[in-house]
Amino acid sequence: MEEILAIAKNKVDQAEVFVQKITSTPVNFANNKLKGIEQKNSFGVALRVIKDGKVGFATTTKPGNYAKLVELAIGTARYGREAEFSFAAPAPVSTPEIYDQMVEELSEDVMMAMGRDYIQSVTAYESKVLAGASLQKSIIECQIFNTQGLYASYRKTYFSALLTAELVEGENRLETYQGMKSTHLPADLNFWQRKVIGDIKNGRVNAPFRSGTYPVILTPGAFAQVLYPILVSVDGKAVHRRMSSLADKLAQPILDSRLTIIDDGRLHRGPASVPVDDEGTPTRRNFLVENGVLQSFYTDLATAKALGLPPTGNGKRQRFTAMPTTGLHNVIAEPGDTPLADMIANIKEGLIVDQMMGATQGNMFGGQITGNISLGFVVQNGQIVGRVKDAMFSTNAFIALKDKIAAISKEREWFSFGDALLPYVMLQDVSISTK
Amino acid sequence: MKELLRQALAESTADYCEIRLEETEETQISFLAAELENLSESVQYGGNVRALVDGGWGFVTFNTLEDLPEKVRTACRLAKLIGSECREQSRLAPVPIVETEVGLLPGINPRTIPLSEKVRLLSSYNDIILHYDPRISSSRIRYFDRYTVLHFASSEGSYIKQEKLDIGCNLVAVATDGQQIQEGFKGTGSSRDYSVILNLADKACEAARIAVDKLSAPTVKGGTYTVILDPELAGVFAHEAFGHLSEADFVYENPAMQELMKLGTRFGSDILSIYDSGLDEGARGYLRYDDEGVPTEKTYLIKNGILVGRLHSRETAGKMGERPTGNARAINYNFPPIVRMRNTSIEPGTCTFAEMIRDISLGIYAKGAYGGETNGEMFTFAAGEAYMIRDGKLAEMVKNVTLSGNVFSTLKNIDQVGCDFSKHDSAGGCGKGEQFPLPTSEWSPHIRVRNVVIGGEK
Repeated sequence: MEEILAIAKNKVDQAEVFVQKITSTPVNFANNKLKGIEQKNSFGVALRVIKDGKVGFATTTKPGNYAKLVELAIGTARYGREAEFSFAAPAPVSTPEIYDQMVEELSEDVMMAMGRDYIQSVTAYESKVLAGASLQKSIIECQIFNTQGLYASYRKTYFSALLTAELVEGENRLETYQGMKSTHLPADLNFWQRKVIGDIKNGRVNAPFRSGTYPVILTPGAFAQVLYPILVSVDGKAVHRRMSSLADKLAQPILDSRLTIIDDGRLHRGPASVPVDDEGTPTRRNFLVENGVLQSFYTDLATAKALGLPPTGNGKRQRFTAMPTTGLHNVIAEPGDTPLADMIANIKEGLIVDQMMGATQGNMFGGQITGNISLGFVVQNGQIVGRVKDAMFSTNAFIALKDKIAAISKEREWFSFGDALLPYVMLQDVSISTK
Repeated sequence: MKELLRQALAESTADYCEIRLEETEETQISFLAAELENLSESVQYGGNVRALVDGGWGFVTFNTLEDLPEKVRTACRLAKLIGSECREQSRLAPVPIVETEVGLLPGINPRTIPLSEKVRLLSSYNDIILHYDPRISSSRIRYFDRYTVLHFASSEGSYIKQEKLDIGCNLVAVATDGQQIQEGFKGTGSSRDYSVILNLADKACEAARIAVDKLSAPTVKGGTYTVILDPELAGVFAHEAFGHLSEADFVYENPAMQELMKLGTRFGSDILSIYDSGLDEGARGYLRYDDEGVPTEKTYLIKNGILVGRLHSRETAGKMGERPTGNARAINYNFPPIVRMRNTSIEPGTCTFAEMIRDISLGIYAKGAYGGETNGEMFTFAAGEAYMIRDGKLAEMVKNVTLSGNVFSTLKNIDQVGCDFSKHDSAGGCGKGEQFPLPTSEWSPHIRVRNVVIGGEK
């Protein structure tokens, strides 16, 4: 890789090389059967340059031929954007716990057994269920170096499990999924297995529900979706480009005072933890919102410079083939005071919403979260009485998370599709439309 | 290359084995407000081996051609491992052995256009949006073009080399009045011709106009309405509401779904026909051979309201005893092919827009899709732009219009199909499993649907 810097050095003002090697082994089950196993090896090099004050960028997954890579990057720099920033300077780095030898050494047989156990337990509960599972172990090796003298590298393990279940009875279809993702191997998958079975138990019978406004408990997965407009609005890039409504609100209360939202790149065993971000800046624990008050925006190097703020270690390559931009690591919300059981017990008529479709596909900067409730449960007099069908959930996230929070749970769970550790949140007066 | 791949395949001990190799060059350009946000060139190179033994699949990816025979042996070992548990007869629907090369369709190849020209053009669209109105606060312009050479070889003797193009451009305008933020968007795409990018000035204005107009539009009242969907939204509806359900991997090992999706079942009135085709030249979902080397076709899913077909891979077709249709697609060399859509369309009917709107006393005209999603039973999508219909006429614009419904009952509620078929693409893509965004198309006419649930504040 030094070869690339050597080729580039005399032709550009600054250069940054990012090398990523990923080895992963997915084991897949579908329709209650073992279907396949994959062994994926991928390798990529990304080169970013600054030449004559402009940024250029090129990537390749073809080993060798780095002269071409340099030529492509320089070619884009001719028309690239103005670079008012520099690539990351060397800095002391400590590495959070992100490597588990047990994941690296995990055998295909053990992953197959985990999937088999899950399917057996779900079909033992209800034989008509079609269950699926995708177990995957991955090892990621990253190296970043640049002409400022930075050299950073790390090795990280991932283990993930996606567990699904489908139950079709007549024209009624219940589908649910639970997932986990961690740097370390879990002792077992029982927790998520139990949740799937719980969804089947509570969700196979439909309960009638009328349009209106109701108290709604958002599970961590649903809360992650309602939180999304806030997260995109505290993106320093959105602030700089005038897309965010929170640009002028630093140090002001924007959310309920019980909400503290942290972006944590250093959490031990956090699925999104890394010692340095994708530009080589050391990661941190950033308080985005503390007790409802907006504390900081998250930035990459370019955005930090543009906003005149210190970088927060949030440079991320959202796609390998695109330039680094801003991104979050582990999103953590502090727990509340109310046991979940009490939250449910206190609902006379309302919903628990777990999974929604289309909720984050509208205009996120506007805050509108409107989604079809693909998995939600009716609560009457403190009891779950069945599944709500054909219903849409609609709220404005900025208003709901400031003025409509009735309670926040003590319990928290990882929402693995968003690398977020969140509580259950009960909102009041939520608009639900049904047929 | 053919010889290299065939020599490696000779190492196969599986019931079936294939190798795919892909070389792609891609340019990406995006603006975020006044700034050029991303300008990148990438070379993507890699391949995979897929093997089938006793019903179990093994899959190995690689970035170099070194040791290809070893990769074949590994894929076979993995397949055997799975097969020893599956212990089923490997059943792939038979397909013709093909040896051919497929070139690009006639059109302007974006790889021949200088980067400076692309940046200048997109920058001009960005300027149109940013200067349209003082209330325009920001924009998102996204452009990409990808040129791919794909080699496919199978243990049955097929060898296909295909050249492919994928081009997309989305223009998003963002407006604010200090209280709220609204967006308007327009997009285009093609599998053959860069010239679709050339005349987008009007679309840029439209995107800005929609964003600004939404600022003063009331929020739609949630409820159940008769809705006219414009061709863009009607296409997304066909894709989400029915296309995914037609993907045979949801059905082939699922007895309950097979009962629900029995060929011959009535799904809509006889004005409704829906098909999925790989042959529509220029559509982003165009492909002559799928990623299992199977020739694509125009596959009717619903004909005159009756379920007549599904979308298959060789495995789903083989297991269901149905014809293969050429719908096995992988988003890139890192993934095995799975059943995916191509160009999913509602066939045009005979109704004009005037006829559709005339007898609606209270309804909604919804245009353009902000994505869409389905879970097989329900579908949902957000409209880019929407207007109330009152007493047979278009009335005030409304905002925050999200449509949802039960797939089965909504299809039955399509009571009019327009005669105005539109061949439109955008820069988005379909997601299934981890494979997102796959280029697909959704060409359709206007349609009218009764009893659609619109989410909204009451």
